[in-house]
Amino acid sequence: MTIKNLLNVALITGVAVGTVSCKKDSDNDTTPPAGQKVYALGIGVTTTTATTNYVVQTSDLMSGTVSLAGNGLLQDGYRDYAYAGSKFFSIGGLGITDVNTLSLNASDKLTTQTGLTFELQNNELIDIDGTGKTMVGASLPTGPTVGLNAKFYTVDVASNTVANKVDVPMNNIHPSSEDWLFHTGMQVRGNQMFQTFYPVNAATYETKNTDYNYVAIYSYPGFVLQKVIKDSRTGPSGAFNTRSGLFKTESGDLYAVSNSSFSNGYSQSTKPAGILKIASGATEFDANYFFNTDAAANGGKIAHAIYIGNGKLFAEITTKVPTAADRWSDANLRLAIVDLNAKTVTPVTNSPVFSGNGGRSFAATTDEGKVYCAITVAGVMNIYQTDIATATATKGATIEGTFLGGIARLK
Amino acid sequence: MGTKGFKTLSLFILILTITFRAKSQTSIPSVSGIVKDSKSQPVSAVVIYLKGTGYKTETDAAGNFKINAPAGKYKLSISRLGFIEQTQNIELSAGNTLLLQDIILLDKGDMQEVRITRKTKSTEAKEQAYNLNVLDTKKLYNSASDLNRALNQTSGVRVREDGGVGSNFSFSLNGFSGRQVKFFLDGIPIDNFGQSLTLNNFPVNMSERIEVYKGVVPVTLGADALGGAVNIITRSNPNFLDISYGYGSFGTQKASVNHAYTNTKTGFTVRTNAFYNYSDNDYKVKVQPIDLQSGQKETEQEVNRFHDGYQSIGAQVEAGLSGKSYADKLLVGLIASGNDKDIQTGVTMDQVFGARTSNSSSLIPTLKYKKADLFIRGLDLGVYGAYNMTRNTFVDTTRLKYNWLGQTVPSSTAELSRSQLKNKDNEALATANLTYNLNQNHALSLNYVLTDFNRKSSDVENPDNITFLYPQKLSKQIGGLAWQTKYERFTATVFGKLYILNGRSFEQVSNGTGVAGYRESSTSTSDFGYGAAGAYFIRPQFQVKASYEHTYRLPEAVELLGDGLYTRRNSELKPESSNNINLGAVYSLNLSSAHKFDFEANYIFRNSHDFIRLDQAQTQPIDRQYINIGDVRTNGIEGEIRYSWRNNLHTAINLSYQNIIDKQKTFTSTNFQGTITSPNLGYGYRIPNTPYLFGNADLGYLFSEAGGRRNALDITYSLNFTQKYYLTPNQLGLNNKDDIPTQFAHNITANYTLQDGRYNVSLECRNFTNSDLFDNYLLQKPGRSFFLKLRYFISK
Repeated sequence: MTIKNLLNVALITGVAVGTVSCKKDSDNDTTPPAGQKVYALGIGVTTTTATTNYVVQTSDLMSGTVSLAGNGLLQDGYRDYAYAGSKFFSIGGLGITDVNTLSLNASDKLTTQTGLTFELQNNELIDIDGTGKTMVGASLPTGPTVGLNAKFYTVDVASNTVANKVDVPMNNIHPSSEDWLFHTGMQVRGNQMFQTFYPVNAATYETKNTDYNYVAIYSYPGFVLQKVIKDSRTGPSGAFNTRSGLFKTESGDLYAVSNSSFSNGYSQSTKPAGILKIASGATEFDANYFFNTDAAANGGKIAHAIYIGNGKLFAEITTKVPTAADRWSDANLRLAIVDLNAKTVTPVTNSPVFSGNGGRSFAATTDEGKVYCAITVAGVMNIYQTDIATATATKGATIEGTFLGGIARLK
Repeated sequence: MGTKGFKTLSLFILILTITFRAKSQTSIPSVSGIVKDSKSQPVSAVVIYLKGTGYKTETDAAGNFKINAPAGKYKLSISRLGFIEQTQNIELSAGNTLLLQDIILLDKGDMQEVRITRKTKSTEAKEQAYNLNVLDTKKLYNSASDLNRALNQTSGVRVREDGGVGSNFSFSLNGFSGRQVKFFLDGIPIDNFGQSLTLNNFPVNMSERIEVYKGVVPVTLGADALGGAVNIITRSNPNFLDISYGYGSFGTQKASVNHAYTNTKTGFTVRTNAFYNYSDNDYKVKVQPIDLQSGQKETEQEVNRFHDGYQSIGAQVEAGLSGKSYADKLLVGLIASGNDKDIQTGVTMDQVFGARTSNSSSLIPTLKYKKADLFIRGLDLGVYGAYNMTRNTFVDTTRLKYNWLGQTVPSSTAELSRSQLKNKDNEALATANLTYNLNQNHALSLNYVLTDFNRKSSDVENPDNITFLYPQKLSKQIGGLAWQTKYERFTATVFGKLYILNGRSFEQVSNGTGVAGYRESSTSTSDFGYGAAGAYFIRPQFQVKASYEHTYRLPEAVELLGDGLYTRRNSELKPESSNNINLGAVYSLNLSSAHKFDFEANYIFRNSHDFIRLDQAQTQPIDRQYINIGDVRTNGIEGEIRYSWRNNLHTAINLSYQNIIDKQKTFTSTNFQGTITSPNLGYGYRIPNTPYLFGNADLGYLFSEAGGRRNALDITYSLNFTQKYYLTPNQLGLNNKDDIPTQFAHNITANYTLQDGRYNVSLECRNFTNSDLFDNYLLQKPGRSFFLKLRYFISK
């Protein structure tokens, strides 16, 4: 018996005792009573040298403190999160793009399934129809030195495996001698997939061409590029590392949301912020629909948003017109509910003015008529619950951490 | 400085006071020592007398003697019937005891001369007031070690390697690492000398000793070293030849040639240090290969590393004159070196490469000048100049992706990111050291170091990278003034250092259009550091030491001024600073002459502020800032015990504990919108990813006259130990799986020397239990390995 073996045994025993025995870690017992809701939160902590990520579970988003002290599952490296079919996907890692698939076990505690990896850094992973069976992933190279092809693939949720891996040349999606393209959103509708992006210089991150909004249309599940449509009424959809570019309603209408905001990394802004529509069944922009959010009452630039049903977006919208000096700041935001049909912006009562998570995805989830997201004010992060019907926010639990990277209800 | 700091300083002042009082009680000078025979047995009844005087004594049963005599110069005679008489010039000064060590009297049957060795250089260095490890590399000449491995055996030091021979490493000294610790070769800064001139390339045979200064660094090593400095001293024998070649596991080959020739008549001198290292590093690792088709991780298995070859070659040649009226030493030299390195993994074992490589070459002309008693008696000058031309290249151009099984799939551009990055570094170095010996006990020294560094990068694969178009330049000037005093039992120094920095770079001018403008930016800063060190022999075998320094690590140009793209200027950036205190005691105990014990204990305190780090709260890909974040407090204890029995049995153990605590209460991130303050969840906890408890032990036995009167066999066992630590903050999360487990590495070496060390054969087995070893997170190091080394050595 070598020391190595002894150590292994000790280590395994330690982990086993720690994870299996409920008595052992009763101080940190997060097992909820039967019948209670369970949420998974992906929390990032910035320390002096790096950012570390943890997934914790809680049944109470509205009171007390969600603490990471002796609590939560460590996630290596930088992480993004996705949700489908009661599974919470933690995507990222060190060196490779690794996926930790988290779900609740029989005693409602988070367990991790490993094994799935993606070839390239994942930009977005979406549940195609909300049934939790199939997800579509996109991985786009960050520049021509990293790769020349965008990669699209499907993930079978039940088997936790990748299928339908297809390469599409980046230069076919956006042929340009001076710009590269960054992914900002995607939706699957029937046998087609729609993707928004913005043109950007991959070396300097400058945006020299902001006069058009672009939507690329692919076949699904084959991911054959069919065409790219563009429109000059507003600028490109989305911004650096955000996924707030394209939304789908229950009826199959698609809405492309543009901000071309300095605050989110654009180096120029040549068009008003606004929303375009691709009507259900159509593959062209609706010439009769344009919602200028800059000009709307209580309007501004929609930095981050999620779709909350009934033709409405839950958004983080600017309160001041960003200037070149605000570049990358993601500042001066407040919560709002955007009605895509009525073309109105309703400010959320009790929402503070805050700065967003910059180049990080917008973590928010809808649950029984309420939207939950996290806002940091004066260094303290809290859950904010927004009642959709009344557009009123209530400050909830305090989260010990630096930012919320993902949130989903698992039970 | 906290209360602890004040207490320590008070104690230091107290020691100074006591010392000066002791000095005022002048006593009659004396000379003392122990006389032994060639087998280290004490010799009694040896007649000791000062020639031409009546001062005379005899050694006692333990070989001890002591003669009191007035101050003055004498010829000391040591004689006994049947032994060869020996004489020695000595000088006695008021209030001092002259201690002669290791007087070996040979009997007349032996044709060799009596040897009276003064304290060895290593002991002398060790007895300085600084807290330093002095590694006497002579003892390692027959081993396969490079300097990294040799230093890793000493207290307070952890060299963390990514893999096998030539792998990337991080040298950590009391928790300080990176640019916080500075490296010197014979007093010359070598931090920018390129990948092939680093501690893991240098063979032990080129150095005589290595000095590791902890926290407090003498002015002669002029550098902005926040946590200490390492000085490699090359061999000084005037005439010798040392050739060695070794072969071992994983295709490893190491060769070195070290040579010096000095013509005593003409003073002509040539010195050469050359090395060659090669390894396939194809050792076994445990990994989960990724299926390149399905993207699934497979079950854990053992595979050989397949793209980790390394070779490096280098030579330092110096020629010139020594012992001239105008120069004690005037040498012109050239250092030429290069390496080729395959890159097997990324930051973790999961990320595997099969074709990425890097290489480097360095060409460094040098000039050395030394003269004692320049113009006037007691004025010594040393000048050194060098011009460093280093080229580092990194290549990733293979359109394949690999997994651990060596399988590939095509990729559109490269393995990870297509690159043929070339860094051209040019650096002018000049140091001057002027010492004036006021009298026998006091000296003043003035030191000046200039480094002027500039880097030009290019990449044909990424020509538009703005940072390549706008290079950075950085010049640093460090001036030091020190007063030193030295008495037989007491030594002290007080010093001040002036740090001057001039940096030049470019910054982006945001103009609200699609194309940004750029303008040149520059900055200058100056800072003043200071310190003191003192040591006192309470008894001839018991020394206490205390030292303190308020020191800085100056920012790099990119940290201060940005690079025009990825990072932005931070005009508020301060240098990293630290208050470093060391307290130590060294005690030697000779229980009869056969048993010799040495004890050493040190306490270290570091209170460091304003670490310079990239702002982690800014998440955008470009335009980030370096900020001052990180207050760290370190309390550490290091202890070492050595024991030897005659010249045969030797054993040593050292243990280092360093409690490095994050004292940064809140993070402050400033952007255009103002300042955001958030709590630091690491506050009050140990800094992650830093070993905090580690040690080494060895046990050896020398069989003298093994298989011949002039042959010897030495067998030594050694152990390296590191306590478990964590990659990320351990107080957060439950059952984190990112621990770097407690590790023990067991090694054994057999070394056979023939003809008094002319021929040497050594066989080494490292990690003979084949334990899993890591230095950095999950990056696996070699298992059991063997190495055979042959060495030939002659000296005049």
